[in-house]
Amino acid sequence: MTDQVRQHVQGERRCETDDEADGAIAARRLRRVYERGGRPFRPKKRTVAVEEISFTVPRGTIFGLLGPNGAGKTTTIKMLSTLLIPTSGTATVGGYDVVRDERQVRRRLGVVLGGDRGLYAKLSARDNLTYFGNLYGMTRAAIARRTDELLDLVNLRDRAGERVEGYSRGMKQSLHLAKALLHDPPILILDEPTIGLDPAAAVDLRRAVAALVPDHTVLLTTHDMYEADALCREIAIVDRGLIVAQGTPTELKARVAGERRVVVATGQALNGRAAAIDAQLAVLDGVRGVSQALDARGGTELTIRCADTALTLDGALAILRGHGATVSGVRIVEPTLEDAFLAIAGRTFE
Amino acid sequence: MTNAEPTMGTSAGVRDGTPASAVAFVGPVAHLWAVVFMTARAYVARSNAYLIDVIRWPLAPLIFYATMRLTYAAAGQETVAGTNVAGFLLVGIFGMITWSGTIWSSGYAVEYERHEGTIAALFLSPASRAATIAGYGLGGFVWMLPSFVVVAILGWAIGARLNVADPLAAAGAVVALLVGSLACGFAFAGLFVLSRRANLLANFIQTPGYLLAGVLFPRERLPEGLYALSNAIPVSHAIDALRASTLRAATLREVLWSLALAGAVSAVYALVGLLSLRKVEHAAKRSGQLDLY
Repeated sequence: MTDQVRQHVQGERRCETDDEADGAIAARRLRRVYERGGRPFRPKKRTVAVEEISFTVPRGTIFGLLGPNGAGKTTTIKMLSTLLIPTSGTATVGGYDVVRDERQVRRRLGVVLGGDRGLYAKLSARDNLTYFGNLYGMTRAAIARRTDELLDLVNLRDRAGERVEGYSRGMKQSLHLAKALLHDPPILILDEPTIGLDPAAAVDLRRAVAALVPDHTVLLTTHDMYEADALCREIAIVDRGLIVAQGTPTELKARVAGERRVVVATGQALNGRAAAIDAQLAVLDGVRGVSQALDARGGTELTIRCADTALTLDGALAILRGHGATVSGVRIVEPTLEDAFLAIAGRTFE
Repeated sequence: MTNAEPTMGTSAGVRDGTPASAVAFVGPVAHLWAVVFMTARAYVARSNAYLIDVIRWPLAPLIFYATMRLTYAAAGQETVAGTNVAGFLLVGIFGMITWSGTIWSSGYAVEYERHEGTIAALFLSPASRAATIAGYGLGGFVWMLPSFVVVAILGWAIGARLNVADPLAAAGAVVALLVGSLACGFAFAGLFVLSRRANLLANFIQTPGYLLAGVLFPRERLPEGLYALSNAIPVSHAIDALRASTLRAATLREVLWSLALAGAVSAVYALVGLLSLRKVEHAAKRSGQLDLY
């Protein structure tokens, strides 16, 4: 890292660490405590929304903050986007401190906040974009050009003149994305961008988000494991205000490699043989657990958690044949981020 | 006044994360004006979306005017403060309309955004908060223009006659009225955000405001203490100047003192408003209540 790169181009401040200089977004020991209430003679209620979070988002990548509702994701992005002052810790966006240089941060940042709000319902999509373009200080020509480009990008050109209040949730979310991209910011923060969308709209939006890199850096918060897995190069799993694990989706899933599952369906219920089969399967090499359930067609579905699926499958089929059971289907289930979260946090997302 | 990337496009440095973007940005002054005018435009467009408001706003001052005219008539009074009642009230109602349109629109600005659910989006932008609030005030003023016309027509019909000797004095008074109302709006904006009960607070303040500003009767008739208090309202001095220049043929020199007072008190209000807004925004971000409603 050279001094020239570390230096603000406008000569205002220096980065404090290499992490901050390298990353488009860098959070260091961010903490946020809410204090609510405070009526006379009554103590304030303290809620720790973010215990302590540190991460760096490399330029030109999509970085995911994955966690259940209430994990502290939205609070974190509010601090990064200058809407909330951290209780302690620091963060930089594009090299600028989110508290001291908030105007510089805002110029470099496009934000999609979750939910239905954030657009002027009584204005059309085009008027919304025109207004926000002016708020960002864009020239009239730039606003007109970018508005057309983005309305095309999010497929709203045909309905650009209609009031936003008549839009579906998916259309509003697309318009949110267009608004965030309007001033062509190098860094985007997307808070649960597909929440509440129907599957087709969610696919369209994910496709648009995926196309943003490498020209943009994206910080994405989501509680959708599939979305995080599909879009993010790196993921930080957040739980109760802490990052409990961080890595690429493959790395995170590798941490629960023992959570691969071999699922074997039998043509008929195992009945009296079930206990003996369970016992034999449980002692196979690399097997971490066995469960059985009756399926809808009257057969039994055996789920075997294991490290080596091929070896386990061979052994399981031999055991079942030995008990005269007919195998009607086999599938291998690779570990998911949900398994990773379960293993790391000790609970599911629900 | 435009140039390419004056604020974002500083160099090819990796450091500030600036893209090689084709998006061009205006300079700081042009940005301020754009925010004021586009906010005013958006305010008018959004207000026009409600038919009941389009009908209600021009009629409300008209009803007020008629009521006050009848009240004076019932009291057997045809002149007040050296002018006929119809003219006196006409100017007062102009002041009231400006007050209603400007103070409340700018005073409500932040609260309005909060209610609309757009406050976070607004505060995420680098736009000046002061320019946004001024835009609301200007939008409110523009939106009330039909009210001016309706009241002027009625005033004319019932005998109000203007007596303008120096148009510059009258124009100065109108500007002072607008600036004074905007300054009040700035001062109230922070208070409203803190209270989170803008509507109730505005309704509570409105009638005392009309009384103290001399909208409906001469403030010289107020008790001494209240008269002193009325001097602390910029709109009071602007209405004094407007009445003198449009009803009593006062020249610019004769209304200069009122205009100067209006300007000075407006500056204090604007300063208080700007400082309190900054404090309020900081406090809201610290407490995490910026987007709560």
